[in-house]
Amino acid sequence: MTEPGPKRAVALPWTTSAGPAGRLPAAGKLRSLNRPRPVRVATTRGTEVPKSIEINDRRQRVEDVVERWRIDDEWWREPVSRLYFSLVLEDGAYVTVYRDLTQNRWYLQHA
Amino acid sequence: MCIWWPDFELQLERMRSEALAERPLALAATGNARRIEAACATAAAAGVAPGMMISQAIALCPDLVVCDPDPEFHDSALERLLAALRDWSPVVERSEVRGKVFVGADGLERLYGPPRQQIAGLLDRLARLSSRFALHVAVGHAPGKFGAWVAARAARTAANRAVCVTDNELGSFLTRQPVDVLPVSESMIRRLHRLGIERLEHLAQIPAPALAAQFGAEGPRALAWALGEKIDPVRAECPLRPITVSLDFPAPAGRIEMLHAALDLLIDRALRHPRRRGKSVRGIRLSADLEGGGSWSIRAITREPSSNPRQLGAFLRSRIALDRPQRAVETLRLDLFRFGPASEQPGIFGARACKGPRLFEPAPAIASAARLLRLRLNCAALYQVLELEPGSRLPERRYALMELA
Repeated sequence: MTEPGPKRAVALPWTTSAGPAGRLPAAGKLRSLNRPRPVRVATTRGTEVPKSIEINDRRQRVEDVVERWRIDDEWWREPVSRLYFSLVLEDGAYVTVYRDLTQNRWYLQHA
Repeated sequence: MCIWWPDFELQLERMRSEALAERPLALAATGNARRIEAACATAAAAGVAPGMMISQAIALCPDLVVCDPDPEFHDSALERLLAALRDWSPVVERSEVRGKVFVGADGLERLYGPPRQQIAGLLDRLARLSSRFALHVAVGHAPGKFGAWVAARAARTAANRAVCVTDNELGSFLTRQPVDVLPVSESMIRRLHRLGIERLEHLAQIPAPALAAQFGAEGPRALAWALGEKIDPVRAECPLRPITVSLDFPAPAGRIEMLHAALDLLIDRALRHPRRRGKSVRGIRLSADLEGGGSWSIRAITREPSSNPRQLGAFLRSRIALDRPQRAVETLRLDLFRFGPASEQPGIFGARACKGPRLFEPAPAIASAARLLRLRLNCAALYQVLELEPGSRLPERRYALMELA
């Protein structure tokens, strides 16, 4: 039976303390845009629908849920399972939040 | 002198994981076809052979552990061994086989004593690096690289894993060796066996014209090797100082389109490196750290030197198509390690025709401002937006920021 090889390069006896063998310091690093930000969301009791949301220390009521959709992806790696809501807030702002179903946390993200 | 670590990669894998110490072990070959590249003695005894399909190997040896290729890890270990050998002798030359290295020992008698003492000193030095490697190394000391390699091959089964052959003994030593050691084509070796010529002493009895008539130019060349008349000296390698650029992905990149886009970026950045000074590129190495550990790399020499990013990109894409990374990529790295003559001649449609298609090239004033700001703030100040996976379902995977070069 095949077994996968060892997962990480280990430090060999003659490697320096700079890091595992074969790793060079990365010269360029990409920073992804539109990274999700944690946000506090209160939901209607017994449902997952947002009732209010706290942005910049200000709690706002959700006026309307415009749209909702779910993403399930990358089950072969680290599963991604998100429930997105497009919301209209009481001041008229249009925001998109999602609930991470694997961690049970809410995030704000421009979809 | 030839320093040879048989099954170099397998020994490294055993050093990496103690659990593999007693298991039959094989190394998977790079490339899309899942084949065996090397097998340990236990696996070989069960019938596993290089070139065999992995499924076939497992059928023959159900306990077989097949390690994924990890060229970065293996190369970095070899580099450290080479560095230790360069401390011992200034003339070190690696061969095309990863675990075989030639060390020039001419003129070192005053420093290290006679050949046997040299070997003992070198083995001590290797033992300080890694006792396991010192245990599995085979050392051959003889005039020329061929003689030293044959001696190292014989040393594999010798008591102290070292064979020392003097100038006077070389001819008689070689005649006892099998014809398989000759650096000639496989078809010639096969034909020699079919003709009943098993050892070099049998070959040495055949006149050169007869060998030339039978094997062409290879025949007399093989005879010269067999008689110990041809001595190929060890040549010191020029230490490589490659131009290296790399890119860390925010999330492991599994899609080939994303790798292609990153490749274009890296080529562009590498070609703009000031150390290139207009030289064209001949040797390229593309490597990656893979998700979950391990690495992948391809090394290629271009047929013609080029500094055209489109040509280099197309060339590397064709190589990636033949040998794709086995898993998603965390870091992609490009090394330009061999250069050709300067080729700054603009294309027939002007310099713009040669530019990379994707990367925004800032105006000189903006580039200069970016450099000044970086110096002043000691961090990146200006970025550009890159399209990574515009169609991704996950919004944070679609675009990324990269420091403006």
